[in-house]
Amino acid sequence: MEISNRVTVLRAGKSIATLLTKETNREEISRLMVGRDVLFRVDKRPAEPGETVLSVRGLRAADDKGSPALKGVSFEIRAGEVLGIAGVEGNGQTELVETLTGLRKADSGEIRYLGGDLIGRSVAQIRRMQIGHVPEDRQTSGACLTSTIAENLILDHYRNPDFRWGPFLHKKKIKKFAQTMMATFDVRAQSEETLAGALSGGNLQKVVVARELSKNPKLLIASQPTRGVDIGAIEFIHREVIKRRDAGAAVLVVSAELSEVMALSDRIAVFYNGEIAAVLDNTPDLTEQEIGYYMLGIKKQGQEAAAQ
Amino acid sequence: MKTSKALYLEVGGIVAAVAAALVCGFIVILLTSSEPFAAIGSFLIDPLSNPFNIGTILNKAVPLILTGLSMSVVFQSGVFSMGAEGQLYVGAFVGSLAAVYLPGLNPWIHLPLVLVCAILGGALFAAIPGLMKAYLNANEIVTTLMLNFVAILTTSYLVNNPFKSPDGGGYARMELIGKDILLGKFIPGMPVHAGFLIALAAVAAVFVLMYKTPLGYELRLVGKNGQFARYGGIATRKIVVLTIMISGALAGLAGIVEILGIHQTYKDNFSAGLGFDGIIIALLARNHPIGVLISALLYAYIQVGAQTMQAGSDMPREVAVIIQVMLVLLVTAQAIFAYIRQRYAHSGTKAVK
Amino acid sequence: MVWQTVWNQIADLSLIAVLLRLMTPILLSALGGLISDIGGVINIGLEGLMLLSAFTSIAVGAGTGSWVLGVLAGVGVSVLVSYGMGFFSLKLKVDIIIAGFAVNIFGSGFTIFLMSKLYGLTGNYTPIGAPKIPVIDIPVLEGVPVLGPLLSGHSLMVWIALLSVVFCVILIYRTPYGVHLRSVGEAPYAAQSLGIPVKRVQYSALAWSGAFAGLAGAFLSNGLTNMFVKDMTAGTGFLALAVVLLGNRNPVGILIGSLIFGLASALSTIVQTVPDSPVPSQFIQMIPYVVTIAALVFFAWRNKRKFAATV
Repeated sequence: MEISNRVTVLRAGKSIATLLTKETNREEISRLMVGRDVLFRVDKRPAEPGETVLSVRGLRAADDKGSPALKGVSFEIRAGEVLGIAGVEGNGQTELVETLTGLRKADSGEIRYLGGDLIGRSVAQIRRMQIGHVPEDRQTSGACLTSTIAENLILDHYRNPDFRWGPFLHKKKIKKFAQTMMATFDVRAQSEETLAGALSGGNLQKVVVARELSKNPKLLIASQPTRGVDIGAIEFIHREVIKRRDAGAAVLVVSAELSEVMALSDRIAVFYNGEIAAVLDNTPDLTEQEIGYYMLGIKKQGQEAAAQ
Repeated sequence: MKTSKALYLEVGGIVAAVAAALVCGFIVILLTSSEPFAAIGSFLIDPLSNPFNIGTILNKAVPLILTGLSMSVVFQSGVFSMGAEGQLYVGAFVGSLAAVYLPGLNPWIHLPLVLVCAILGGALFAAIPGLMKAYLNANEIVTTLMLNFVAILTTSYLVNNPFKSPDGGGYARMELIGKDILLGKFIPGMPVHAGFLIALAAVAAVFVLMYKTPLGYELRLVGKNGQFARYGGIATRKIVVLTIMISGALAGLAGIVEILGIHQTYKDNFSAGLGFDGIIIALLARNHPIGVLISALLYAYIQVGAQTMQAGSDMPREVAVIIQVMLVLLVTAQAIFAYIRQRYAHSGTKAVK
Repeated sequence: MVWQTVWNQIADLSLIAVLLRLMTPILLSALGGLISDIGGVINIGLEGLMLLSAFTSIAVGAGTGSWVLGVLAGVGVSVLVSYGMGFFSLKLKVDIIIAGFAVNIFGSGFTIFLMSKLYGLTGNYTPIGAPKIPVIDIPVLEGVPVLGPLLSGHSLMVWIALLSVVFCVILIYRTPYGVHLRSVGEAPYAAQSLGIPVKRVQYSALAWSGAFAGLAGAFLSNGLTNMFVKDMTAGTGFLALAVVLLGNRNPVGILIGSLIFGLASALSTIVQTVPDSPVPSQFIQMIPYVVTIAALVFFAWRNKRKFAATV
């Protein structure tokens, strides 16, 4: 939109329309892309926050090179609310999610989830505690492209006795589970035996989201949940996230898209240089510009305010 | 693309590669033999011409199936071990000790015990490079190659000194193993020994393990996408150690079956590269257990064909090496298979969005 | 008894001569392994290349009566096969490890095939009167006590091997080609974006490894011995790979590593010739492999600690 003179819309391998940029607008292009009207703002009721689900205090961790990436991060998420994390990429968001999910070692600080401590627990233990994690890169961490859709979906269930027949995997039950999930989450593929690598970005992301929501999470951590995904899938995934919130889950959304953070969140924490620069209530009068000041380090709230 | 269609293309490509490798071998025969057609004839036909030769093929296939399975398991988990040769020696040696020095047991107890000793020997020896890979990130190609030499030299020392049989003549070997636990023939008129049944059972066991159990799911996931496995909470390091131990167990089994079925005693340097042949078999089979069975039989057929050709013409049996080398190179040429998939895949692929 | 013999050989410096002789094939093939490794195309086919060169070299040498032609032919064949390896791995995308593995099988089997087809022999080929790579006697030094046996009377190939170390240092660290080679090995995509012809550099790296493995092989059949024996390399190519790692991928480190491994083979030769040795020769033969594993473990452990310290 910013740089083009003409726009060609492709859908399902066909050219749908070519428009002059100055004669069109986002809504028209979006409509052509999905074939129907898209709601850019997510429809949602005001949050009804409950008890605190996740409480992070003074969290410190290093990045892969060993330099500090999280420099004392503190925040809380309550049941039934979405906390969005905004920030220019590379300011510690990736490390935060990895530390919360057990993929990265915390140097100090505390992570309390429903009263228990998460620090020092293995990835497997954390995944069994009804914590869903949509990772930022579905191609490498979020899915195995050379496995089938079914194999991707049973990641948390293959050791579950319900899916076993003696010591063996129960093929029929797995198949049925996968088909149900594909129908519920509108994953479009020939069958559950299709390789995940053959799916479009949107359908693959729906597989990831389906798997993470299927364990009925009390805490959902979604990193870049709709990056590189078609608009129909974005809408679908956003609706599912809000549905979980309304069902009483605490949700942490990390996104490089400010508009996505603003559309989904009840509160927004802004990351700058490994610290939380501000925690803002997502009221209608909160502007992108205001958040931008915090993202670029121009403004900063006091630590006490950020901790709340 | 449909999974089944991808499978057909893959199998078709492998069959074409096998054919091309055979053609390469035949070209060399045509160029160097004075009676090329007799040579090719005895290469292709003689191995199947009588029950004795067929039995020989099956016997040769036994260790190849087992080492092929051994390599296919580690390769599927993304570990590039080259240690089957060393593990095979250790397994065979430990198994032979149990066979020679625990006499007087009921054979129904003794034989399983011998097999278990060989399996444990191979598995524990394989755990060394596994632990080094998992916890120190030491390159497994190098450690396994080095440990092969350690295993071969150590067993060689042991069979040349403390465990050497005085009746061996000039040969370094242990005492003969009692007849009651040797793997005898089970088809009248064919020399094939009962190790073949063990190999078939191993194929079934590995198939079930890899595709029907939670552990197999984990092994394959670690091999396909280690990052995803870690994200999913799979203890990838333990899996690496476990997979290489399973591989060592199969290699150890290959060693003891070869001893009990063919040599009847532990001999110094008895393997001569069976572990490395296993690498070729696993590559040909694309690491699938059923594929391993077929490739091992094909490979044994080529070896026996080379022998019958040497007997029936002026060609030395080493011509088979050219076929083997071309097989390895063509079957693993990803560019060729990518081309096949591109060329033939898009017919019949529906747009899936 | 053994220690007596070893001591005597150290005293009259004949151990040094044996050591240099046994070190040469390891050093040469390790330098080949080094260049391919630096270029990111690790060549585990050194063993096969050496066998092909060893056979070609003695066959051509005996046929023509010239050791120069023999060595050149051996090196030529080895380089040619390396190019073939490059074709399969760079063009047809065969994994480089598998390609090297195939070269090893090919080298072992094809030399036996040729031996039986050309000469009707199966175990070894010992041509009468095959010319050897000459020994360099330095007349001035011959009579001098220590320097004489130290410097004089070594095969020409020993000197070539030592000069090759210098050559490799210059090639890798002092020439534009060396810069290209290192950048291709470390970051092939970055190198490509800078306009370095990645594939061509990798082909050339394989060719260099073929050339050095060729020299090593020619020395085995035409210098160290005067015959070709099937599988006569007996793991030298794998030792060379170990030396590359042990020498920290640096030509001088490789020289030191080769000396250690050469010493181990020299000692094991002595032990084998002395009856009733208290140390079994197998364990001395094992030294290089155990040292390599220990070194790998040490490097890995150190890296881990270094990383842990920075966290």
